[in-house]
Amino acid sequence: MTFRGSAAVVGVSDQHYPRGKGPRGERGMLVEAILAACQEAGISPRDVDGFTSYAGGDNSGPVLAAELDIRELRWSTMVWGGGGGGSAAAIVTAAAAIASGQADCVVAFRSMAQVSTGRLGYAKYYFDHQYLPHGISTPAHVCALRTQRLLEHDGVPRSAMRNLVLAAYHHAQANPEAAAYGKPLTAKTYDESAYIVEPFRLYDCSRENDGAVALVLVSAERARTLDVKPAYVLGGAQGSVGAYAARNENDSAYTTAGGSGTSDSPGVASRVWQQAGVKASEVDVVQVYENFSGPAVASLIDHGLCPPGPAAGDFLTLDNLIAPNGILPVNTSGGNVADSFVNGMGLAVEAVRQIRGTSRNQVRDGSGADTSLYIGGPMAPIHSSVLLGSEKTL
Amino acid sequence: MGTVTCPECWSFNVEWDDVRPTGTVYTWARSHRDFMTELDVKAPYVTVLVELDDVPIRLLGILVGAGSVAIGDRVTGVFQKPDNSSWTILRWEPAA
Ligand SMILES: [Zn+2]
Repeated sequence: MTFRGSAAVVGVSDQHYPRGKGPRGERGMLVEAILAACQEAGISPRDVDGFTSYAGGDNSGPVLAAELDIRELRWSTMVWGGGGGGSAAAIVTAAAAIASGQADCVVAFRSMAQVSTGRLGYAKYYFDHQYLPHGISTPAHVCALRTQRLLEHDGVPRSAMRNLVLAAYHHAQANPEAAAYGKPLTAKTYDESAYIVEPFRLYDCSRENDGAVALVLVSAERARTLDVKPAYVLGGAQGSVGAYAARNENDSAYTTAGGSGTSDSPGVASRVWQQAGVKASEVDVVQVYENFSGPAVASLIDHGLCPPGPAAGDFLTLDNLIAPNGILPVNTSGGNVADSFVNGMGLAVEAVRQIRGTSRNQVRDGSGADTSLYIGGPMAPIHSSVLLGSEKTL
Repeated sequence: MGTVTCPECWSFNVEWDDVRPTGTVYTWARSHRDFMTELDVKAPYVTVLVELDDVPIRLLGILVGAGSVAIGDRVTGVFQKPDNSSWTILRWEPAA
């Protein structure tokens, strides 16, 4: 049994609305998204036999099985711990179930509605008595602590963060569904925006939306019988090295996104490249989860897509980061900062669009991307990423 | 979150040790908004992560009595009991 290329994403749906303005609650929007993704794939919702998600939520496999009246539930898996850090892992877990014969058709999803669960910015995660008395109460705080050291100690220049944000806003101008569509951002406006938690300014922070995102995965064999261009799962990994982020700021790889390795443990990023048989320098396009800009820069460094330290600034220029001609086009729909934020899963859908050739900022226009990476939430207790590929890469 | 055992030897017999309240700023963040109504300190405030001199452990705490902050700054721990708190809280100030 080989994992590489055994499963493919064949249907996607990314529905998002301004925060608090979703037409239904989390479950209602989710069922809508699953139905839409199934329809796109040409698969009956009754054929779905598995569900995966991350970051919690009440919409478990059995609940969704009842909503859709599926024939048999065979896979119901929540990625444990780490919020958005587990987003790519939800897709990989779906693919693993299919590759191992545990299930035939699995939906990886996330749904968020303020009316159902409040704002994610105040998510309770691991902010306990070790954090709260010290004024550390949000994801912005813990990411700010790590990012400040990334800048001040490791020497990554602030321009790296800014250019990542500017690239996202640039891409959003071609995406009518993006929140920042028609609202271009200049370096001056970025520089003059207010600090939220230093070193993060307003524009370094992701948005929050109501919405639901669903991706339908089936086996490679079945994918070839459908009337869609499959995005094959070439490799994926989840986890953390050295109890990353679960030791109250005492982990050793402090300024990483959680994807780097150590001398005796390869780490998430290396495992993805190794499984896929693809080098970082060969990837066509990257969607990188930016809860905040700095952690996303750390993700690119972890994955070997960008050099560490001061050299990150030389590499992460606006020209290099934008489609179609940049060396490393990132967040081509606008990402979490300029498109929408449904706990990062919208980025995974954009990674699929790049393989299909249907992105609003398509790389390799005409053929579509051959390799498309989605990196899940950075600087969280677990991390994950997944590499998708075209038929040509198999 | 802390652990119930010592992660090095998995002993359940964990106990408190005295260490000097001195260390070096490992990193910091400055909050520009009042995210927590229950905090006695108002924004902008700085939280530092301090590497202790005596043991290889980092502790968080709000920095008091300082105009600026940088990684590598020497700091001393102080215990404060805010009026609205029933707990004593570890905070940090610039080393004398
Ligand atoms: Zn021990």
